[in-house]
Amino acid sequence: MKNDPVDVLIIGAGASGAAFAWSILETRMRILCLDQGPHVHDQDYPSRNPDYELARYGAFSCDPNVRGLKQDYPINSEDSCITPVNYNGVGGSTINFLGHWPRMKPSDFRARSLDGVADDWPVDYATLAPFYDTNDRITGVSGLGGNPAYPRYAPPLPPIPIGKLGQTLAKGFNKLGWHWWPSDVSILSRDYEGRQKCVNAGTCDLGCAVGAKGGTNFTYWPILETAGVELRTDCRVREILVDDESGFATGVLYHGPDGQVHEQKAELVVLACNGVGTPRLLLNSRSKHFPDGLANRSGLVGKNLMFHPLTGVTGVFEERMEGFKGPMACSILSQEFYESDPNRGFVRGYGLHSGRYTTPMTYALGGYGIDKLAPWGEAHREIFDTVYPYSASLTVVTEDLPEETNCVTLDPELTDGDGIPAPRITYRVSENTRAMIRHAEDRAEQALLAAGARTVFGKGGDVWWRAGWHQMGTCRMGHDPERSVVNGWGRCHDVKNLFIVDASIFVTAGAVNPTPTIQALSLYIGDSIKTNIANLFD
Amino acid sequence: MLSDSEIKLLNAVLNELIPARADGRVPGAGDLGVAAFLGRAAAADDGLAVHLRTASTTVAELVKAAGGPFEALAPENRRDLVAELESSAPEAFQALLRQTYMGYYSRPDVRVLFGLSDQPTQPNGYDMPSESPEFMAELTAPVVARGRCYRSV
Repeated sequence: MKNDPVDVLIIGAGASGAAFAWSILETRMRILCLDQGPHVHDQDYPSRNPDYELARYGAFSCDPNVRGLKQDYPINSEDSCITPVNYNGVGGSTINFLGHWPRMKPSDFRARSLDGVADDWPVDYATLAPFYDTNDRITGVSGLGGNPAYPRYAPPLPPIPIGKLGQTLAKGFNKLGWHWWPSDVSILSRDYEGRQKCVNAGTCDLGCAVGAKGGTNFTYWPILETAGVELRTDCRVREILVDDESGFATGVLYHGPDGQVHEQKAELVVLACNGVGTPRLLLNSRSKHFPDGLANRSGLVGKNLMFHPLTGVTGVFEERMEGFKGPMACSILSQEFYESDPNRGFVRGYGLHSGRYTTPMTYALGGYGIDKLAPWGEAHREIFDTVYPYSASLTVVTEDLPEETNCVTLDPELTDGDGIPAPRITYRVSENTRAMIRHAEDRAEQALLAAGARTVFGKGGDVWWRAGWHQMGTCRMGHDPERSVVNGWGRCHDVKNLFIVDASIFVTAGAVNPTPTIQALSLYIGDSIKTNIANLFD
Repeated sequence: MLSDSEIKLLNAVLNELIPARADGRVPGAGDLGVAAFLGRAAAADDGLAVHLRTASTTVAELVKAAGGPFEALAPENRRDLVAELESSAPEAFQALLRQTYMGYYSRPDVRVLFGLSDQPTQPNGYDMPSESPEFMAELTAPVVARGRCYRSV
């Protein structure tokens, strides 16, 4: 394996790393990307197998602790009520994510100014809007323009079918006079750029074998590899190296597929490892200059971990809802309770997401992301004959606020297959979020009844265990080096040739799926690097 | 490896966990042969094998104490016996129940009973017509009529 120095070394080939690489293609710099996982070929996705559901609880689980594959690192979540989920491979978690694509709103970037909580971002919606648009075009986003919950924009493709389930719920929201809109999705409603449109398989988490879902393995990477970006798979970075004199990053040490440790030198190092993997790597990179972890003079690396605590409420209708058809997490979305209202007893807000439903086995095991078996015996028969086929749910997606006590640290004992210390999660759901969940469950029940549900169940305030898809805030952006890890365009305050482009730099979480914002931000950071190329390290 | 009598007892217990529909159109888990799935799963997972063995021996003891055989017990007594298994060996029971659900519902011939395809979901998926632009315009009209609903910054 040849390790000639490169101009830009990107660690992680998922959502953010791929978008960033695309953004700097035109600079003609030599770009290398290292990913700890392999290429995952679409013919190997379990959705092509007759017993596809079993993979959800084994080698294609969203939970790395369940998968336990060579490329996975374990995560100790004993001190958390939510465990992080992900995928490791070219495409990262966009391989098994569900493709729901709502943008953050202008107010999400101004939580301190508007609501007196958390902090404002150093960038705003208007700045990111063109990057959202570019990313939507490359990814192939479907949706309906004119959503009054956002400044005007139009997805490049028409919406995917919302189906009987979505239509039913939409009528309920209309009866109440509440906002709803067809979901923006990174799933093709039409054939697009050589990719096939969605076939409504309903198993997006098991990999989209037809390539309709906008995983970066189908969107950015074919462009990048054609353009000459070097991608080395099965390469796990164990440490970022720093020059003792200058304090600049000089490259990395990584474990290659040959089992050996290699050194790779680079002028610029870019972290794109998500909100758990990035702080883990920084904390594992200790040196004379950085005894508490690289770029951690603020002490904030790993702090302020935010998830989106999720729960769900289910309605049982008179007609069959056929919830197993169509993209599994995307139909319609209500943002009636998204913006802060002081009368509700909490700050910030939440979304009510209508996914579809799920397949019978997952339903029997408790639902997606939940481990709670359905009852046995006659009650089981009753549920599968009279509830499951007639059900539609609303998923409550709450905004989490940053708290330093919610954090990623290094586990003192647990390591990955290469002996690198594993992350440990310490996390609790705040009282503000719990109040939000109670409010949301009541409103979800109202909406389901208005839509014609004969009965509603699922209220109880429990958050889902495997709900840690969105890992944010652990290396936050900001102008003040004492209160943030990176500046307003992703450059580490402490190491001027080290950038972070994943969701760890989020200042707040919003109450929407983060990937469109992650990628818009990556494109923005790439653009900022191009703009500042003459004095990048000043 | 379970003996023939143990398999017979296991099948009867599985039929209690997922009973057949009264009209006979949906079979019980035992009748469908889920025991074979459990055997394969146990062979691949030592921990699971221990749980399933515990469940099997506990059931046998409970049947003996009840004056079995299991199949000869009244329906309510069979249910009570399984409930006793659940309370006396909770971890083993949970493992048995989970694997039973996995073995039963992962079968293409079961999925089709609930309206799903018996084929893998890809590449064919499901037919699902798109709503027309006119229909969507009508459905979203009340939302549009309310006007802008995001905050100024």
